[in-house]
Amino acid sequence: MNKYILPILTIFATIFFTNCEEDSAIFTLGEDYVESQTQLNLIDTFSVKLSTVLLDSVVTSNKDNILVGHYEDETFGKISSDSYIQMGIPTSYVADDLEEDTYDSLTLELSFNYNTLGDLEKEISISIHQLTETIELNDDDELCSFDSFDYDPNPIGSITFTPEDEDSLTIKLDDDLGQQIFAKMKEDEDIFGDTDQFVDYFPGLVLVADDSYSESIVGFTASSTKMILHTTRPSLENLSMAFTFSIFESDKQFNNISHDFSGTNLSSLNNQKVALQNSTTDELAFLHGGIGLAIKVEFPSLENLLLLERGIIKNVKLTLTPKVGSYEEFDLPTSLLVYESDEKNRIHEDYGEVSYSDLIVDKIYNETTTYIFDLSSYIELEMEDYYIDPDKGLIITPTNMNYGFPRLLADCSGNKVKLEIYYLSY
Amino acid sequence: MKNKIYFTLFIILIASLNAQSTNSLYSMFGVGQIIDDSYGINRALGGTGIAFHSGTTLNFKNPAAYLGTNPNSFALEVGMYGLNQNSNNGSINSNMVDMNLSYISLSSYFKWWWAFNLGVVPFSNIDYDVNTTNQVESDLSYYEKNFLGTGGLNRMYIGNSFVVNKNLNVGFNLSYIFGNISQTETASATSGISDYILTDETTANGIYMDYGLQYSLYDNDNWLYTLGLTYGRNKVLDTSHDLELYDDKEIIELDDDNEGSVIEIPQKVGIGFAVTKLNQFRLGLDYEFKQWSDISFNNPNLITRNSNRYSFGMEYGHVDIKESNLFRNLVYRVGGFYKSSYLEIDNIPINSMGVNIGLGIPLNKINLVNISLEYGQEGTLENNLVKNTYYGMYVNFSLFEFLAR
Repeated sequence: MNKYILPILTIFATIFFTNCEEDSAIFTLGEDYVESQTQLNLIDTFSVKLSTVLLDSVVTSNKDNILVGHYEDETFGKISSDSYIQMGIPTSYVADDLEEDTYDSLTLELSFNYNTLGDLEKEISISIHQLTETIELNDDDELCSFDSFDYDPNPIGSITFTPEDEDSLTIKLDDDLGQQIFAKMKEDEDIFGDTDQFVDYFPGLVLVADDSYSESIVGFTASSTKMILHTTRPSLENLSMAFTFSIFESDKQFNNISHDFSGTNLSSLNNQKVALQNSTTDELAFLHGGIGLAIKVEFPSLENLLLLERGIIKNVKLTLTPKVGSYEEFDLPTSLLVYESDEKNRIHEDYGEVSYSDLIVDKIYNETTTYIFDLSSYIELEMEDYYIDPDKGLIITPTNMNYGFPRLLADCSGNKVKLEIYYLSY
Repeated sequence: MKNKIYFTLFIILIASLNAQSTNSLYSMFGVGQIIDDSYGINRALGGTGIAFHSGTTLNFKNPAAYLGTNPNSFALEVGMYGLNQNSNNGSINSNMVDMNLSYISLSSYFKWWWAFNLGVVPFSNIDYDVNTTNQVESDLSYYEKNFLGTGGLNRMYIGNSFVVNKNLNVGFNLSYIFGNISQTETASATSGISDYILTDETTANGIYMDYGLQYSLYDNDNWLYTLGLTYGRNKVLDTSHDLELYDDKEIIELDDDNEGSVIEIPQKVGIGFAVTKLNQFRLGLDYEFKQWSDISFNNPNLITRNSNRYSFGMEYGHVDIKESNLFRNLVYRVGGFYKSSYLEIDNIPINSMGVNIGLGIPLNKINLVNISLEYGQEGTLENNLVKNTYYGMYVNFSLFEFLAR
C-alpha cells in the first residue's frame, strides 16, 4: 500500500502546481512606504547673474553676406555696416577679339539675401567706392567687424531704392573707370592674365551706406555679386557682349560693422573686459549678433554645491527667458550656444561649445518661450576637482553671429533665469 | 553505515536549501517575512506546538520539545514545499508558483534526559517586485522606480532539550542566523534625467538564543496536560552593506555608512497549552507575542506595532505498524492561525491568516511522510494595497534510524 504514496504524491503535486500559469504583474506602492535609498532633488537655489559683454571682435569675413545700411533703435542705438568686396578677372576672353568692340557700360549687380534689419519700406541709399588699398587678412586669416581699408572718397556709383520693391539691384558705375578697365583688357594681358596682378591694379570695392537714411541694413549674397563690363561687337547685327568680374577670394569679403550706444542702456559699454551688469540695464542682458553683444552667465554661489555630500549631479539645466514683449519687432535667434570664458570675458571657442539650445516657443501664452541649456557636463567637470573657479564664466552667443542680426533681450528678473540642478542623493 | 549515508544526505541537503519564497511586497521591510518556525508537522497544525512534545515527528516550536522521539534512534527530517500564490490589488493580478526544499533537521539523544536537534531552517524571506512613483524633491515632476528584493535569512541551530523531572522539560536553541538580502532600486529615465540603478547587497548574521520550557501534568487514562513557554531576546544582527550606484556614466561604490538599515529580530514570548491523549489525540493552542514596536524601520511612514499570533492545532490518530487498515494507520491534522502583523502601511495593518489540513502517512515500519495543505491570505485590498492568497503544499519525510547500542 505504502509504495503507492510517493507516486500519488508526485501526481498530486504536479496537478496542484501546473494548472495555474505564472503571471507576474508588478504592484505599485506609495513611495512613502518604500525604503528607498535614493532621492532625486531639484536644487534651484543657486543664483544666476547675467550681464552684457561687448565682444571686441566679431569675424565677418567669408560669410557670403554683404551687409550695407544704417539702422537705429532705442535698445541697441545706431548700427552701420559697410561691406568690402574683392573682384577677380573675367573667366575667358581673347584680347584680340575686343579690338572692334565699343565700350557701353560698367555695372554692379547685387541680389538680396533677405538678411535684413529694419524697415524695408523705407528708402536706403548706397554708394560704391573703389578701394585704394588691397584687402589683407589678419593673422588668423580672418577679417573682423572693426577692420577697414582705405578707399577713394569719390563714389564710382550710387543708388537710392526701397528694398521691399527689389529682388536685385543693378548699379551703374563710373564710365571713366569702365573705359580704363576696358582699355586694360585690350592692352595688358599681364594684368588680365593673372588675378593677383589684377587685384593690385583694382583692389576692390566698398559698399557704403548713406547715413542720412537710417531705417535699414540690407543683405546681399556675396557669391552672386558681379561687376559686368558691357560692350557692343560690330557685325551684321551688333552683338552685346558682357564680361563678368565675380568675387575673387570669398574670405576677403567682409562687413565693417560699427555701433553707437549713445542714449541707450548700453552707453557705458565699450570694453570686452568689463561686463555691463543688468542692474544698470533694467534687469536685462543683451545679445546682438551684428554688434557682438553676448550674454555673460555667472553662478556666484555655485561653490556651495561642493558642500553637498553623498550624491551625484544627474542633470543641470539653465533656463534663459527672453523679455516678454521684446521680440515682437524681431525674431528671436532660433538657437544659441554657450561657451566657456575667462575673467576677461574671452570666449574659449577652441574648447568647443559647452552647450546648445534651440528656441522653445510658447505660441499661446508667450510665457514659456525660453532657451534651456543642458549644463550637466560642464558643471560635473567643474566639480571634478572640488574647486569652482570664480573667474570662469559662460558666454552665450547666437549660433551665427552674422546672419539675420540675431537679437535677444534676456530677462534677468525673478525666476526668468534659473539654474536647476537635479541632484541624486543617497 | 546507514548513519553515514544519512549524515551525508544531511550535509548535501543543507547545501541545497532554499528559503521559502512567498513573493510578497510586505517582505520589503526589515528582516523580511519571518517564517514563524512553521515547518514540519507544525505547519499542518497552524504553526501550533509550543506545548507539544516531539513524537514520531519533530516539534520545532519549543526548544524544550525535542524530547519524545524514539530513544536510541536518530531522526532525519527533510521538508519540501510548493506554493501557488495569487496577489491582487483590486486591479492587477499576479500569480506565481514555487517549489523547493525548505528545511532539514537531524535529532537524537545524547543521554536519555538530553535530546538534541540540529538543522538548518528558513528564518525569513525576502521576495518582492514593487513599483513606485516618486516625486522629485522640491519639484513638480515625477519619476518611476522599481524595487526588486530577493534573499532571505536561514537559521542553523542546535537545540537541546533536557528532562528536569517527570513534569518539567527545558531547552534552548543556539542559532546562527545568516543570509543575504539584496535590493535593486531602478529609477527610470525622465526628461533630462538618465536612469540609474542602486544595488544594496546586505549580508546579515548573528548568534541568537531562544529558550523554552514545558510543564506537563499526567492524568490517569493517559491524558496529559502541557503548558509551554518560549522566550527569545531581541537581537540586532551584524550587517554589512555593499552599495553600488550605476549611473549612465559610471559605477559608484558607496560607503557603507547607512546607519538606518538595521536588521533586528524582535523579542518574543510564546505561550501554549496542549491536551494530549497519548497515541491518539492532541489539541494545542498557542499565542505568540513579538515586540516589534521597539524596532523602527528607516522610514517614518512605516509604523511598527507589536505582533500577535494565535493558532490552534489538532492531531488525531497515530501510526501503528500492526494495523493493516491504512486509514486507521494515518495521522490526521488540522490547524489554523491568525496573525496581526507588526506592519502598518497607511494606518492599515497587514494581517494574515490561514487554515491547514494534513496527513501523516507511514512509509514503512518507522518512517513517515507528512503532507499538509495550507490556504492562507495576507494583506488587504484597502487603499490599493496588495492581498496575497496562496495554497501551500508541504511535505516532509521523517526518517528514523535506530542506533546500535
